[in-house]
Amino acid sequence: MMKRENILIVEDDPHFMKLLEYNLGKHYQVTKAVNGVQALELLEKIVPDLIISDIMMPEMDGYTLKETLRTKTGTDAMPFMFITAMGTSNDRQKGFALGIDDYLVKPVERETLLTRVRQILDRAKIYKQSFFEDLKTDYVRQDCGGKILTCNGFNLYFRILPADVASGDYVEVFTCMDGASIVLMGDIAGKGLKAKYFSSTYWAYMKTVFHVYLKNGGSLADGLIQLNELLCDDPSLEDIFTTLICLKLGKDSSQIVSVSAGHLPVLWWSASEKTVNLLEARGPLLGLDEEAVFPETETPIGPDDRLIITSDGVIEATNMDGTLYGMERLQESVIRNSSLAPEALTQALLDDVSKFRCLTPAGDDVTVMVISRF
Amino acid sequence: MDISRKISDGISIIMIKGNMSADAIEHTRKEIEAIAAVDGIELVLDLKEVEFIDSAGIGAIVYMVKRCRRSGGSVKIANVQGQVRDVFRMAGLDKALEIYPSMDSALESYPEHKRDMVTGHMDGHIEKGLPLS
Repeated sequence: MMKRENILIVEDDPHFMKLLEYNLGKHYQVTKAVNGVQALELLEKIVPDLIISDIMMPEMDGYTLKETLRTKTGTDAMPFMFITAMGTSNDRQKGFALGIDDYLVKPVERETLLTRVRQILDRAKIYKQSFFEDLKTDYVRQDCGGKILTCNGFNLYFRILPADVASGDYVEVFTCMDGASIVLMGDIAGKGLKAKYFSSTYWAYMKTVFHVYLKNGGSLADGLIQLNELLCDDPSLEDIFTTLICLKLGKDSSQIVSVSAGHLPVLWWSASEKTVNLLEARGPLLGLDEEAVFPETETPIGPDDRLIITSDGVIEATNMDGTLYGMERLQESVIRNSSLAPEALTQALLDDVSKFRCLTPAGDDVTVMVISRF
Repeated sequence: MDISRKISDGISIIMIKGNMSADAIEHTRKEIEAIAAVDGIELVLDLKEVEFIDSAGIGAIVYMVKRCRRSGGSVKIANVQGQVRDVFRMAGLDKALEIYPSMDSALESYPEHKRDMVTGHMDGHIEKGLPLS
């Protein structure tokens, strides 16, 4: 079922609130606040698609509410409409000067209300889609375009299933000057618009470090130290953290060098031993400790071995009973499907999570990557 | 998830009870932010009664640690066990955070002069701003 758009109504008159709720509630999910203060509290928890506000209200009026939202990243561009009894030209000008999208004067006809609300939501949707498409195009590869990637004797396949329009999980593969391939998988934790906006800042840091430093032959461990220092120095990122795993697939080598910053363990299926080994993180997640170090690990990959890298959306998937999918189920699934090629194994692992979850919606992005030798 | 607090020798002890999952964190976000908002706060997070933590719970702890460190305070963590200990290890937090096996050892790690210094300052802020049960 398609998710209904959420409208936050800020109105102190209970009768008018009821009227708005009645008319809009048939088409949209409605959240209510009786003044600007309560609206700001709600906006800490929810991200509405549109805010409809009265102007004259106790504690905090509509002008102050809009002005406050305008100064905060994440709420500054939220679609906003006034519905008010204040109908002079000066009142309107003051509203539009604050950056609102529309201004209706009470009483409002039902059809006018629905049309104007729809217009704003449609405009916002087009803008949002285009923004997130840009974000995805610029920074995040959602999959391999349905093809296996080949890097220095290794096959690689991955898929990202975003829980929302823009994913906090990301994967990138690029080649260094010395011919080695670098594979990055990370997860930007945090919810809502702030995390999404943050992903672009984060990618700017990533590009700076990895595309300049690593491409020119720097080590993975030093690259992570540099990235970590940048993230620790940015005070705007204090409620967001990121995990990252980097792999280096060298030329003419069966060894994979890896370094992890708090990312989930890599699962290494050893075909000769018929076991799944967990290669655990040796460094902490990024942006927490400016003196952190990130030791490198070398893993010898046999001809039929598989490396499986996932994001936490896999092991934290829950079913209807609230039971977690967990690392053990993932390991069992890897063992059951270990003979499959990377593309089929990736799909089998995703299918297993999906089957476990059944009708429970995904609460987080789900990413699976499989690497093998050829 | 319930959060309660007490003060021992001027150090704020934050006791968390229940699962630190995404839903629970969402419901207690304001309390977590209020604790971390006290400049220079010295605190110990007691995770003795936390049996489960996910990435959202880790996010809440990381937020507190970063916010407190930035304002000149510190966060120490006591009684990490079971699944929580496993997740901490997976995230590399066992190396990046100050973790103690018991509440006593966490409290003892604070120098005595620091405890005296913090007492009055923190009581004032915390009583005023925190809706903790």
